Amino acid sequence: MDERQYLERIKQALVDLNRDRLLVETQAALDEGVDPTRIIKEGLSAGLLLVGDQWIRKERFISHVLVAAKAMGAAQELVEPHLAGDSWGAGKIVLGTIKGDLHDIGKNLVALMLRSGGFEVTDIGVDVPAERFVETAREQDADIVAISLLMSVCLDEVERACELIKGAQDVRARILVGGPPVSDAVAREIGADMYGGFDAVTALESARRLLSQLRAA
Amino acid sequence: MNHLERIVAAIQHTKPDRVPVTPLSINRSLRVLGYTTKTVLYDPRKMADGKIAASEVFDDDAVVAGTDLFVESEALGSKVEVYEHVPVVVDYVIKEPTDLDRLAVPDAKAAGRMPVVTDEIRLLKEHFGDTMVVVPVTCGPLTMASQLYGPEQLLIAMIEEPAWVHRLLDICTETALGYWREIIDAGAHAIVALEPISSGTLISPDQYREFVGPYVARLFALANEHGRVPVNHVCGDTVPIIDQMAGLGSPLLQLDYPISMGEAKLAVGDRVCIAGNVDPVDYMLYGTPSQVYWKCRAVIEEAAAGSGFILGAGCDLNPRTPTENILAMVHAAKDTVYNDDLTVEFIRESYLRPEVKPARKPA
Repeated sequence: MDERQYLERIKQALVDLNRDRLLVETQAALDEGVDPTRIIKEGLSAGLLLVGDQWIRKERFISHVLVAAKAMGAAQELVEPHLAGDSWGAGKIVLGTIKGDLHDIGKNLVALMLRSGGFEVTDIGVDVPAERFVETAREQDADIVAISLLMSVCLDEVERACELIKGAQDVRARILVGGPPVSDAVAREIGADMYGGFDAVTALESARRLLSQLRAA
Repeated sequence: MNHLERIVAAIQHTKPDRVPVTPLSINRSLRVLGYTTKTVLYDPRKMADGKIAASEVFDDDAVVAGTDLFVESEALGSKVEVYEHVPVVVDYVIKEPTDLDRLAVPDAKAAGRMPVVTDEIRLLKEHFGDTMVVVPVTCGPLTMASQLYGPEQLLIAMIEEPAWVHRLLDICTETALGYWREIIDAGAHAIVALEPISSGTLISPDQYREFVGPYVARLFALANEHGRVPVNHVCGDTVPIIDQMAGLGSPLLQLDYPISMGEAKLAVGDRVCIAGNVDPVDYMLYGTPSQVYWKCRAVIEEAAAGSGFILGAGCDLNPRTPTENILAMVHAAKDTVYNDDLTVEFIRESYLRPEVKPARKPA
């Protein structure tokens, strides 16, 4: 088998939500000396993005994405010791849900998709006050601060986070805000740089666009 | 017709005088007296006073008792913290699957905030008697389970450990049944089972059939036995499950904004009454009164003919929803009249047609 076949099998096991087969195929690929970065990028991440696409097309449901993500996490643990370092970071993102909002499914899916897309994600969890977004962005020298929310009552705190981030001279991060109560117009109104979308797949596309804007600036 | 009679007519598919309306103002109602959820959570008198005051301002057709859907999971041992407007689970009682063995059905007469809500119901009944629908919101079994184990863990377990999930759902259903008995005893006319986790946005129709239907059906049967109206409220996209929802024993489905009420009506026919479904954020929170009014008219035109329809928002209103927008919704209902053949006519145009759709809506 050539590398591509190994990668294809890994991808397929993930799409089939077959965790046992995924671990066997991943180990087999590692044993055969397949490039671990390619295993993550073209095998695992590609498989998860496929499951994500099926979810967006309503062919699958969130529980399937979660099961795929859990399986992918286990496979990633096998691969990580073989990686030379964080080699394909597209950019650094600080991600969390805003204070008052503890809905973590959407945020976790966004983290997965961003990581699948090559971003280095610092997940600061749920119920995060505005100040902590700023502090973490400063510490990490992040490219993007991504704020996730499900409940409209939490928009005020997002607005406060945007003000603090824009006001901090030593924080260069651009702000991405996503979730059901947000839209392009609302994102602009509360001071964000870009609307992250309604779902995790769009969040990845938005993060890529925001990063290229940042790098072009 | 009084408020109760009007809602009953809609549910029975007979002729109401006009389109009934329940904007789904829960925590928003408390704002009328300057209360927030946090300030009333253990005070049934304040909860009831807020709802009564709101009912006088809005003049809608139902009063919703309770404030949130965490009463049951809190009574079962999950740690709940209360922010200004909404309580949230900060620590799940089930951390390992074996923790389920220690979980016991609480005594609904005494556990946590259950007696606070039943006392609120008694106060509301004292005030309104049988002129107004008094309807508490409660947590459905699957959603309750998600608050005990975490939604993400639960959704994974539904695929990986279904037998365990059924054991958990049994305890949740027994907890709900105990709570519903107390609510029935307190005199509520109707009881809502809130099941956001069973949304078609989160689970598949097969999962709804396996993990939701049989459990909520037990709650609905209890309410029906006592002559109360069980209400099936599912958030988000319900198109994939609406046919199942119509067959579970609840005569009233509350539907959220992502679906078309006209199509929902076609799907359920005269099997059940449907309520909804104006977007609580784009229209109710961010729209103008005339945008809300004309959106409500559009929903009425889609789904009110034949009775079996109640106008409302798709989900609980944001506490900041402008009073003018709630009144615009109520006006849209008051501007209608039902004919004998159950067609609906508008007798006034209380607001000018808006020039634009709400700004948040993509063109």
